[in-house]
Amino acid sequence: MAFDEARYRREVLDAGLPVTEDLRTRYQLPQRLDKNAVAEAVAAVRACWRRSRSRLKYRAVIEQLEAGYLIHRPLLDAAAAGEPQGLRAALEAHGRRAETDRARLRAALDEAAGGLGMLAESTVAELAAAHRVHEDRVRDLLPALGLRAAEPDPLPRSVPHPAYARCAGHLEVLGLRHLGDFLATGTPGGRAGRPVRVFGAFPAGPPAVEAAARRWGRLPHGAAHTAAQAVIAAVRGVLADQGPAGLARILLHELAVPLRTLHAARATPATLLAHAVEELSVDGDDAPRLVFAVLHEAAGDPVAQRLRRLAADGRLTEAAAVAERLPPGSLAEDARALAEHVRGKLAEARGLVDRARRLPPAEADRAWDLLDQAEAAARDLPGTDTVRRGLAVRPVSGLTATADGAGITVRWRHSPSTRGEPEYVLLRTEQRPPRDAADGTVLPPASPRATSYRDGSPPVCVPLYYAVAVRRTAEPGSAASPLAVGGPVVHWPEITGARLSPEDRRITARWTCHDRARRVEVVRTAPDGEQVPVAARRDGFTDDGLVNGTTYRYHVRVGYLTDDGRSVRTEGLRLTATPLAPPDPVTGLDIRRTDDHLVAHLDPPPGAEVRLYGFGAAPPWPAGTRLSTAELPARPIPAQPAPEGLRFAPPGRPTVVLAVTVAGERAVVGAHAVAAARTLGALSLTRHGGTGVTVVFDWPPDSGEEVEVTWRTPGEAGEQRRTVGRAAYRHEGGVRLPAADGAGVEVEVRPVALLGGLTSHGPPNTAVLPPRAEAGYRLERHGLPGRRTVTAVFTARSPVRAERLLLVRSRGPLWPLEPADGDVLAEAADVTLGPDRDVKLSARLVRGPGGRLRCFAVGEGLVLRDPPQHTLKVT
Amino acid sequence: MAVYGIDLGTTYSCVARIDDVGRPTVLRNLEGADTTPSVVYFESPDSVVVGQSAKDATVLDPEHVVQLIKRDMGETVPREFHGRAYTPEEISARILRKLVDDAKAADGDEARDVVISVPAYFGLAERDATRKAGEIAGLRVLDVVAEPIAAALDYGALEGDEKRGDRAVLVYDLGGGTFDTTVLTLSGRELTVLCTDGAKELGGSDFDDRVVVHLVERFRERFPDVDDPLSDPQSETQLRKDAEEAKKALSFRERYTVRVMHRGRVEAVELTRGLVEELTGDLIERTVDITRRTVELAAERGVSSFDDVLLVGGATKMPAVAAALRTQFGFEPRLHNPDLAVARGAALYALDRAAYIVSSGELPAGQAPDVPETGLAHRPYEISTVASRGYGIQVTDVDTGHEYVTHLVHANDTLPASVTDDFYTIRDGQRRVRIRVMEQAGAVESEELEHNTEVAHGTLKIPPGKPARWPFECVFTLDTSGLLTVVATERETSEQIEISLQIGGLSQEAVDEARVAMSRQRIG
Repeated sequence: MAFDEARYRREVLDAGLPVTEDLRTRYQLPQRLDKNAVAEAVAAVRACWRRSRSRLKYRAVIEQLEAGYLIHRPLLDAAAAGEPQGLRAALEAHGRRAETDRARLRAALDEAAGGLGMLAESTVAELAAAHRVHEDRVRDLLPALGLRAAEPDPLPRSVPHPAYARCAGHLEVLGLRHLGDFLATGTPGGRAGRPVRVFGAFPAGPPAVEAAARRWGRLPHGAAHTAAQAVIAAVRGVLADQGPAGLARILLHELAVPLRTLHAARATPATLLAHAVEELSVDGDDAPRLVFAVLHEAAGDPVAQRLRRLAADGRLTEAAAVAERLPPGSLAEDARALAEHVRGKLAEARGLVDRARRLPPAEADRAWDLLDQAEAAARDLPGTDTVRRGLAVRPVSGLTATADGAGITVRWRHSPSTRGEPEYVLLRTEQRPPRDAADGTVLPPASPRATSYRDGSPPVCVPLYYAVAVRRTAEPGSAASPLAVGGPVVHWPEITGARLSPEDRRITARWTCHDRARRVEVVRTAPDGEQVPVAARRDGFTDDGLVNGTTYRYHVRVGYLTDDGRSVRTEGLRLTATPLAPPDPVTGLDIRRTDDHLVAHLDPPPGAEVRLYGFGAAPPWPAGTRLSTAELPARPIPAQPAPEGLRFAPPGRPTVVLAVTVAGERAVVGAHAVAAARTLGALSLTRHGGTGVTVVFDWPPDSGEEVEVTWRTPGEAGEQRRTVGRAAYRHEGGVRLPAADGAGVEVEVRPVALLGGLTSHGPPNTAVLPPRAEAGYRLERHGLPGRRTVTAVFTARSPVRAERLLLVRSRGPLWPLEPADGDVLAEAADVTLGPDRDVKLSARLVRGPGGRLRCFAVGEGLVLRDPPQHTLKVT
Repeated sequence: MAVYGIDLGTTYSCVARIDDVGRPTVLRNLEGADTTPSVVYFESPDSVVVGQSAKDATVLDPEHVVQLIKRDMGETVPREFHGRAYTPEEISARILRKLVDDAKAADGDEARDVVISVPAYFGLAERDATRKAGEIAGLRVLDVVAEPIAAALDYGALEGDEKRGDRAVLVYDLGGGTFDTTVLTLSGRELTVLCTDGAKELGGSDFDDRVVVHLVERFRERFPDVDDPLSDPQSETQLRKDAEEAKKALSFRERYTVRVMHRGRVEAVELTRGLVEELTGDLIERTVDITRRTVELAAERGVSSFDDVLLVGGATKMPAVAAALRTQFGFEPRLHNPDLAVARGAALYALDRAAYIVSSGELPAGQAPDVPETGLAHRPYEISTVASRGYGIQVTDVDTGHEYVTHLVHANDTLPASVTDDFYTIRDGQRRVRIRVMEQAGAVESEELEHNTEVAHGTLKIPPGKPARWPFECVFTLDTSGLLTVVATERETSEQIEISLQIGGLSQEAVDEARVAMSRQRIG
């Protein structure tokens, strides 16, 4: 089903807010939710939104529609993908909801009418807003409910004529209810015999008034006579000034007064109605209208409110019409001012439309702007769309159509018209130019404002004409511009899909040529300029006897026969190829580390390209295997030529690097080697007890699964080696190496990778643990208790240097583990211990709580051994 | 003794006489004013105060003060003061007494013969009551004269150039309590009343009422916690005085401020001429309406334009009156002695009546009134007027038993009018026919009993043995002075019975009694 933009505009955009919740209307969905139809409809609707966004009056609606699309999109997408269940369920749910809403709305309408059979326009609008439906929907429901929308009749708030101002009191004196009684009777307390008509009928004309005057004139002179004469005088005055209509207004006022009083006393509409009919003798047809007017004036002047709302909505035409329908002088002061303002604005807007209509076609864009301004002022201005549709749009210029053998490129320059979302419609016809915007094949440019189009598959061998029409899409139905036509141009297709395959002293070509082609002509040009025709088939050629390494150029042209028998050759394609000898494999490959790079050392075969490919295991082909380049992995290792070979970045993990020689499309597999893994972290050596050393390092996950550890004692020959797996390393909490007590150790660790049967060692890390020196001490005590002196005697079997020696007394009963745990009694710095070079530290022992003595030594590799503990007590 | 013309007004009264050169002269009262408030203060059982002092007393002792008594003339509505009931005639008599006593003080003559003016639309009862009021005051009422006729006479309508040709005059008389409007034609010495209409309760005091109500409303807005000033007779009286002052002032000024005082609170209320016109617009409108009716009737009788439109009565000094007439009818009305014209015209008419009585020998020489010696030959007026109301008798429809009034003389019929008609008995052997003379009570004639007032009644004897529908003749005569006679003739015996009509509420005996009672009171 084609998208009917005018209908969509009428049903959805012009309807205004709130936007319909019916997805079928909102997205113009087809009856059967066929997936393609749904997709098309949604796309067309969204395109319509985009086009119409430029119209201010639709902006708010379209914003809501676009926001709503985000919610509905999953359902629509699913339906477009062939799964309409969700959308169908949503439509059904909406149908049910709509039925419930309608029932609720009907109930609300009945309630609002209050048995009077009519609703104020403002009430209709409020109900529509409350139920989120358009006002027209509400109006459509009214007849079925026996209701109608009406403006409440304006009721005079005060006595409509000054002459009648005191007559209420006079009627009171006469015992009458209203003017109707007065005019119908002639005796105090009289009652009108017939129901009183209030609307559409005048209570009395001059003859009736004179008749009443005669009846009332018969009363004896007195209060009643005076009152009656006063009323008669007033009625005559009103009649003379305002005619029977003035009397009608007075009657209306008199009838409204008691109803107002009742209404103020919270009487229901039914009570008011009964009062009007039974107590005031108001005609049964007029009473609901009268009560309706009374009920609505209490909430403020409904007409003024409606005027205000319409003016705020920008619906000035309707507002002016509402004001026009009212009798003159019935509007309050402020509402009258508003009505005047509305009329002024409307006249201004109409003036803008007139100006737009009168502008010459060359100023159509300006006219468009004027119409925008007019609509901004009054969005319901009639005739605006008609003027818009009549606005001229200027054509594009500089249209060219160029054939290049593969297709036709059409180019043009923008239309000077910019307003109203101009869109370019591209047309193509054969043999003759298009006549109008609907003539010919419509071609879809990439975007509505594109200025070029590539026609990739035009009809061949026939004169083609291209034309561009411009249309303002923001106003559907508007006239298109005159056509800008280019052509004729003929598409003579070149060969397509041409592929040259260089081989050993031979070049093979394959292609496809159009069915209409009569022949293909190929001319080979050697580097020296020699041109030789090559025998070609319809689908390619094979050119033998060429020199490897020489680049040959081929010019391929296609010959056609025109309808009138002329022979035509295309411009032709120029192709280049170089025949090559078969490649030689790389025989030796060695990968070495240089700085932070690896270098593949190899002997490159002459005249061929060597590529390196990485594998996580042994290469799939043995060396010497010949392959087509298409069989090789997609990406070789990026490598730079270096003097000694190819230089490349270290791979992230151990990799087998394969050297492949490539010539043209042929390749041969060469030698391979392993590229080592990444380096390990720095080593950390720790003496483990008295006889072992623990090596700990950072072992990255991609640095292989094994390391080789080599260690030796400095100054001694021979080294030991051990291979440790990752699991063992974790189990031992490092690598534990045996070492003589206190001896120094040098350790080297390097990762080991085993790939494709090849072992590779990574870069080594080394560390050294220096040897350890031992010293001892004893404590000697002198003097009597209480004046005791203690002396620490430090000894060493081999010369050892101590930076500090300390004698420490603990502050409590606990053994001091470090000097800070007690008070330093004595100390010496920078001393050397050795055989016969004992060092003594003496201090007095004062009485106190501290119960332990201990000495500490600080120096590189220096270990101070404590004497037996019992000697360390403070005694 | 001289003859006097008295304007017995609703709010003000005035007395005039013809001076030595034949011109009407207003006699000032003892307070030195041309007009005397028609207010009576029963100060004590034997002392009555009339005029400005009585009006002043309203503020202090309103319970014993009577105002606007003219509106009650013809009605049986006695008022009681100090244990005695006073009819409206008696109260009016005290006003008349005050006027003539002051006149005597002014010119030294005892006033005896007077002509009293009445509104044109006054019916028989009202006219009779006025006449009787004069009698109670000890005066000889030569006649009652319609106020517009008096005003026209004062305007000089029948004086001077007789070659002026025929003229039509509209008199718009808005007094203190009543309003009437009359169309007259003048031709030489002949004055013809074409038609007249009016309202009994429409006058300057109604205008004052509106102003009073406005003042009270303003006061109550300002002091909502204070009770209504109208609940206090003294405050109300003061307000009435203030309102009258304001109304008068605003005839000349644009603004006037009244200080409303009640219960010790004071609110200054500013009145503007426009505001007062707005407050009283409907009253003016009523006068216009009645005027329009009169004008239309005059047009039916051949007078469609007026050479003069006279404004008479104190209330016509309000600019709004002339403006309304100008706007509504295109008249160019002129104020002509609005306060004094009626009394002056009545004096002229009194002179005319006295001269007629003397020349006609209607009264014996000893009782004839004194006609002033003006040195001028008196040429009598020829005045023809119209009936102010319709008159008829009550009849019974023998078929339905329905009682209604059949009018023999209609309002605005030219006087004197004499109508003869046959009536019938309704039962076999009926011996008496009770004749009730009915006067139209409203502005429009109606045959319904309730729309008519009985002004007189009498009984006709029928010979015995007569069947039902036995005819008898009734002659119904109304003269120019409004004197009504009904003569019924029984056909078979030709017996004529002049029905003695008892008009109004007071019999002659009651009048005499009242006169005696009044003589015992001191009136000042």
